[in-house]
Amino acid sequence: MKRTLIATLSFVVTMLLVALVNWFEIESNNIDKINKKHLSEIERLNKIAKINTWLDTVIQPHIASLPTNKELADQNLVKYFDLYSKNLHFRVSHYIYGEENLRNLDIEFTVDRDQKKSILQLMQLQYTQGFLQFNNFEINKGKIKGELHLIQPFYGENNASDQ
Amino acid sequence: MKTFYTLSIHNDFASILYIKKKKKIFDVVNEETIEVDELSDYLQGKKAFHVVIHIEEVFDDIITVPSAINSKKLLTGYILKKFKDTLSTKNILLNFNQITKNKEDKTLTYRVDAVNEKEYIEKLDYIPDLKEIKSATIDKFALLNLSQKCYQNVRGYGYFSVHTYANVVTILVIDDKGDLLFERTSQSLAGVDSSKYHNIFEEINQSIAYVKQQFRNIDFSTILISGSLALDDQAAEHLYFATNLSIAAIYPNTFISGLVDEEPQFHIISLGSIFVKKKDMFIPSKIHNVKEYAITTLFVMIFSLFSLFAVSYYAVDKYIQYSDALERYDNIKSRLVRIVKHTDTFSTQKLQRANQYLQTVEAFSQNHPSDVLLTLKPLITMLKPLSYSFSTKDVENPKIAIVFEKKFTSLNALYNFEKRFKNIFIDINNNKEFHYTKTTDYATMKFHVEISKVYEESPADAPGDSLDLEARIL
Repeated sequence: MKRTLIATLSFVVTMLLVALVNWFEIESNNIDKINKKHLSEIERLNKIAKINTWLDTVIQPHIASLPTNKELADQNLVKYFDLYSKNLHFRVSHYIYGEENLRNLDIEFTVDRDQKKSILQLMQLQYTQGFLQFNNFEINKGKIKGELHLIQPFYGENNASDQ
Repeated sequence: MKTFYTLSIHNDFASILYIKKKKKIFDVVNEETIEVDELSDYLQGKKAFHVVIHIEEVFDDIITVPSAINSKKLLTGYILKKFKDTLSTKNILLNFNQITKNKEDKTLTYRVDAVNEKEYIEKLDYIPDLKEIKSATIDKFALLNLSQKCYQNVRGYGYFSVHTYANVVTILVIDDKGDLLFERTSQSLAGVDSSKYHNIFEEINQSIAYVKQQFRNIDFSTILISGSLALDDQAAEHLYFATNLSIAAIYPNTFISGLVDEEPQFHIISLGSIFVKKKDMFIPSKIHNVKEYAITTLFVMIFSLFSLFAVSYYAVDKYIQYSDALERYDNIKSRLVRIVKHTDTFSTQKLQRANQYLQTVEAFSQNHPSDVLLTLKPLITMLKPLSYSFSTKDVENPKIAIVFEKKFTSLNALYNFEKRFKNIFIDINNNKEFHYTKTTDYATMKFHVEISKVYEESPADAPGDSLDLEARIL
């Protein structure tokens, strides 16, 4: 009788333990799934943090250095033109025009192929306040000719306030 | 240390010995004689019983069985049928042992003993827990087994074992191989000691004479005496003179402790129950069933406990896994909360402005003529370009074209130069961004090649991801 009782109790407890094992397995799997989700979220947030740092340290200073209005933007373009007009024989091909938050100036240039200093200056041209793009560039018959496109972005005072 | 009880149930009384076995010595710790009616209560909670039951009427016979009957079941059926034919009662408990094998007529001779099952079980029913019965037999087999334990017969000679208890005389005839040949139990009716012994000796003498006549082919050497007879010095002397056989007494004191001097002689049958062989037991099917049930339940219990243990181990393992998963969850969760806390959320306006700026950078920071010249530097170093044109007028498809031209005086020089030029170009143009158009005039030996590039992708898809852009801005 005692043995039967022990055997019955053991079987009952065994069955309960089997059920408990199943529950542990299901719960462990669920937790693992959640952990996986959290880990991918952490990875995503880490990327966001990197982008944030990059935006803060690289992009935002650039944006902060941009002119805050159209007049300042135009002045930048004009000053840049005057700076190189003599050496690179600048000629305005399309005077300052603009879209929203962008001012443009197209400039033609001509350099003799023999004027090495001017060629070097031309190749090293940079427009740090905005962007510079070659619309045309041609070397032919001892002449280097082309057209430069100066782009000057600017932001209004409202925009500048939250930088 | 093993402990057990011997129970000798004789009529209305039960003689009980409580024995502890230490190595090969049986230590009688307690001896008691009680009425059988009190036996059930007395044995409550006690374990391991060797039982000897005194049955008034024991049926015995010699039965010849064809040797073709060899399975135990058939043999039992055959013997039972033959035996029952001669008995009035139908419910008997059998015990049979093969004595001889007759090769001539292919038969086997069995010595069969039987007891009335009802009478036998009635006595056993006093024992509260039947599964605790280790052995059960009748008194003559207890005496037989103790005789075999205590006496080593002379080779080629049989012997007699004579036991007297109160007024009961039991005479066993044991052959030279140790098998029981004949048994006789009788009661002396005389009350006075001297006439009782006279009757006993008479009984013994008659039995020995009968046996010698019946089993002429067997020589007997000894009379083994036990019980009250062994306590009487004159009895041995008298028997010796009457039978001319040597006399020996069962003397279990060498392996029994706790009983001193002559005390063991009063418990010969009880002590004999310890040594009863399985073939000499009378175990009713009821006890077999109880024991089988006990074994089955024991097996089931062990199996269930083993299962419980195995599943418990598995459950602990799973719990540890679950607990680890929970711990990992807590760690990851706290990491996530910390990162969320430390990750800034930019305003939409700020992000829009950065995006606008980056789009502008993306659109205007490519297509610089210097980039192309740097890429084609090995070719330019080899041969100064005749012309170079770069146009982004068509913003969607800016075009670059460089013309190389050189006149040769020998075709071999032209061939070698052209080959080298092409190889360098192939090395440079790994990602196939340039087109190579050859218009060499071999008649005038003028090398002429135009290398061009057309941006077919829209500026937004142009090479360089945000990190390239970052590098470029830096």
